Amino acid sequence: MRKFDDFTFDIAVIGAGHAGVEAALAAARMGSRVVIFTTNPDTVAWAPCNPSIGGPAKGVVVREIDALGGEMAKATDATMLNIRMLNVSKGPAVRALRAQIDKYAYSAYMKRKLQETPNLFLRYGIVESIVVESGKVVGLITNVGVRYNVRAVIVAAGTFLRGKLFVGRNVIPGGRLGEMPASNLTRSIEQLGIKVGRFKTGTPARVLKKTVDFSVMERQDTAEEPLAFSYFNEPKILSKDYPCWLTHTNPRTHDIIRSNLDFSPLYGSVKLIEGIGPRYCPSIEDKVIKFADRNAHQVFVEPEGRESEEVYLNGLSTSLPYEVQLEMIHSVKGLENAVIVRPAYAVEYDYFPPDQLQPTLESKLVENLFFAGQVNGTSGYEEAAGQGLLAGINAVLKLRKEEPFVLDRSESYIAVLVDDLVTKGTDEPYRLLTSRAEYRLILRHDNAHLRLAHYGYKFGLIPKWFYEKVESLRKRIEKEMKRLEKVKLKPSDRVNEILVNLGLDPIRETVTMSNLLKRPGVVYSALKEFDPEPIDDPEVIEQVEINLRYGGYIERMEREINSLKQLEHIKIPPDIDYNSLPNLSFEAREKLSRIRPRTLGQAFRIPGIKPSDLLNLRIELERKHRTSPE
Amino acid sequence: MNRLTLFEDTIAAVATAPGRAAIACVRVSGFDTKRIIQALTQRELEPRKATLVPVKDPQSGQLIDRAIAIFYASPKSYTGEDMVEFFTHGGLYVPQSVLRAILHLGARIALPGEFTKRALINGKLSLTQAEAIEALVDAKSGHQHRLALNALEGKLLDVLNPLRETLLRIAATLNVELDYPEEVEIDPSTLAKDIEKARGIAESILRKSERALKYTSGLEVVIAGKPNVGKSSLLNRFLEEDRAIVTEIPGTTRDTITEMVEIGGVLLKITDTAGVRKTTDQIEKIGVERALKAIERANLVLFVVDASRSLDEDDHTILKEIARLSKPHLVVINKIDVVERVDVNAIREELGTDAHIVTISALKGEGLAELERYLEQTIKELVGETIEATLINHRQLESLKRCLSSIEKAMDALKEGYPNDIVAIEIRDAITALDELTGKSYTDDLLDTIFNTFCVGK
Repeated sequence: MRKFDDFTFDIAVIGAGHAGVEAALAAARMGSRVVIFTTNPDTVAWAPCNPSIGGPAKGVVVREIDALGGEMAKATDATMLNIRMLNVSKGPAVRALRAQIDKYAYSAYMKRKLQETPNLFLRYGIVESIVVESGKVVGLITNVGVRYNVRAVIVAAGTFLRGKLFVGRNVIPGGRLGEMPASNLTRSIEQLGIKVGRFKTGTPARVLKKTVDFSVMERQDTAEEPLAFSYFNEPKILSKDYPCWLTHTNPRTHDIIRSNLDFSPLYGSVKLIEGIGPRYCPSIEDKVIKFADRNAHQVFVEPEGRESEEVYLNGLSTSLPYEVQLEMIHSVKGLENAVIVRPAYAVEYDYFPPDQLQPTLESKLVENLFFAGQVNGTSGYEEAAGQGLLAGINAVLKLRKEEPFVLDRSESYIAVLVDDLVTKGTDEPYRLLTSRAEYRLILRHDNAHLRLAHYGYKFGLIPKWFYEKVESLRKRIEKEMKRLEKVKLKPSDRVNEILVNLGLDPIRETVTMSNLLKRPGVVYSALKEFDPEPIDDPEVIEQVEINLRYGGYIERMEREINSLKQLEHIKIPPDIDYNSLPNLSFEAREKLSRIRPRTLGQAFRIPGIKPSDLLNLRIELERKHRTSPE
Repeated sequence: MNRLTLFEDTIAAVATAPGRAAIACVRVSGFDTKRIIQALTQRELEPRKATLVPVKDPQSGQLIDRAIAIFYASPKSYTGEDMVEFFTHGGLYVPQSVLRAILHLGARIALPGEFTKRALINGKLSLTQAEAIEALVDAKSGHQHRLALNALEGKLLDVLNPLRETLLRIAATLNVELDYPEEVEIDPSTLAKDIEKARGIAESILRKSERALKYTSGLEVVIAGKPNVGKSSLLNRFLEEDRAIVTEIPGTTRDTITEMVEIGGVLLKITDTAGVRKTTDQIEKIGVERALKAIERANLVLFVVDASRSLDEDDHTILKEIARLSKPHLVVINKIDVVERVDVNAIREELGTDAHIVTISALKGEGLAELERYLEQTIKELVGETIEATLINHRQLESLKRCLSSIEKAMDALKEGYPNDIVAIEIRDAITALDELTGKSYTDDLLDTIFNTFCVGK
């Protein structure tokens, strides 16, 4: 008898985008038997919008994925065309990497990873329905007439659910340009009692590179210093062959847009798009309407791949008709003769309001049904990948009946993302921003591995040598921090000359090296000559400098975190009946019943929950605790 | 047991002040209210309907009073719990007997402020509203009343909103630059100016509020002047009762006497000082120092001079002190009924042309109406602008102070060369401190401000 069962798996992942790929890889690497479905095996981990990874907050997520044993950082390093560190002067917490990727190479890299990972099977298939028995996932059925038996499903279908594309008044069914939508899965999920919403987003046109006049644009080259997303990889300097280019729209561009608004599926007399679009990622028509006084908007021209003759027009996302797009593009400096290969379009798709999920990304209604990525109302490859990784890990833990993996807002951006989603829901496509993180000084790019690698190791997603490398770094940092407290500097001419050269006040009394490093503007390299045991490791130096200079602020945040931790430690029983607490306001009762927070801390973050509601809840929990037999 | 509330006991109290009065109110709140009503009146009451009921002692069955009772069913009551209010006849005995009967039925006596505390915990009131109610009950003057009412009506937000919006704009500017580094760049001098503006607003609200708060506990008015110029008689005129001793022996009022009186809707704390006189008498010397200290503390100085005597060195000492401190003042020329010898021009020379001067006879009551008018006007000038500042207690002031201190730290961080991210942390703390007052949420409002103010994204 043939041993291999084609149709029985532990976990099925629906969709092979950034969420699905990370979910499937994590689950398979943890030992589950995983099948991942795609509508098109040639566009795995596709970048249908910006051919870029990272940016503020998002770049930190990529580092966190790396620390937890995900693939995105490594795939980016392997396929990037240029890379830069952003916000260098604006503070350590907001520093972030952004890379342009070769989107074709990236997709090929991820497809190869899927296909070479043991226990993991990439399959063509559009899932038509999910089979649930007694509130628990047992299988699914695809459009090629196959029923799979699975114990858990991760829905990561991106923009494919009843996806519709808009170019002016032309409506094309599709998940993205050139690909079929999944038309039936939504209904199956809706029948399980899960609510559905509709969002929209959009993408700009791709034009032929050889028709763009780069000589009139501002060139942005890759960084001069070696950089890498993954801590597994040696940082490297890239060739300058694939820069980005900056140009601007002008009043004529804006006139063209304004005079053609009637043909917009969003603003026109025939309103075709109902879904809500993201404010942080507006189309050019949004920008022109909302900021009528601005007479120029930035347009970045970005490479799509080494072998690609197309470039991406970042800043010109639109759903205006094709001819208007042409006219608009031709009004921009350097794009006068640009030839469109693929038009800009808007996409409208189904999502499932994420406050229906637990912090493990499992549905509150259906057991072993997980959701990750754009189906949760988020946008962005990095946000999707972070959720996918978390859903993959949690699906495995759930099947093994182990403790779920829920991160705290104070330890990871991924947790900020997930906590926001499940606690507050979202009424527009959600993007991570540094402003969403209250503890961003702790959630830094540079310490992602120090924060999270131990989890990756615990789940078997990162190797032991790597974990030990991170822990040895931690020990060296602690050792040097202690040592520098004892290194004393006298107010010698040499010290003061260095300080004055840095534009700082000279010292008059003997100070310790660590106290001097607390002053803004003082760097270790300038004081190294006074250190009897000079530090050479740039990583240790970086951590020591940040810990000293921002130590006061970091401690303040840690105090705040600890005081709120008390609330996080008060668990709310999942079966609590909020209607039995009549002193809660109606609004609070309704919200608490819907969100079902796991802890008092989470309840505290639900919008509209008043301190008095919290106090009531706390009194009630304490009373229950007192009267319970245990 | 059909327990519908959080609290495990039922509380009761006489809600009106003790003493002879037509009506008194006995209030009960808690899960046991219905049973208590049944036991006292042998009937069930319809919610929110005033009903005349017999109130009987449940033990003896004897009638205590016929009262109007209103039952409020949870959650539609002041505390959010089941409540009843008995409007009994007044006096000491009847309401106390009703209360005793209720306590006998298992309720316990309410602690001061406990009904409001329950309302707060049960989510019927916000903290600022509860504080406003406390201030309303405590109001002793029109000024206090208006402050409290403003707070209750949510005017607090009107006052704080310009500050919060300014801070939010700064936070949005800082954050949008961090999230969209390639699209937005901040001009550091504009940033410094904006923070300075926020600091200015915060400080102005704080200053006004501190003054308003000080005034709610009474505007300090000091009656100063040489011995035996009629200071005490003036005070008595205000009080319309003989509290301070008036004699012909100079220096009788050795200790300062403080009395409260409401004029022009403002509570005045009037201190009658011992006279200011250069003297070798030890006891009197202490009084003199005390008087000069009182002048320094005072919000308003009433300087009384004797019309029948010309100004001497002592008078000039006081006038100079008032001028030195630029104290709001009124010069009261007393005893015009005797003979006028005092040189008004000399007073003007000391205090300048805008010196406020009135002439009265404290003993005969002449010129007092004019004095009061003058006083009211001066008080209005002093208090006027504080009405709009509605922070009504020290908790609220503390939050505002923390807000101000965070703004100052943000300025320092900027000056010391910390990156904008750190400045953003301080601004965030400033907003969070304000939000303790207003109950708003930082992150959501910040994102709204970012996307409404800046054009960012692909």
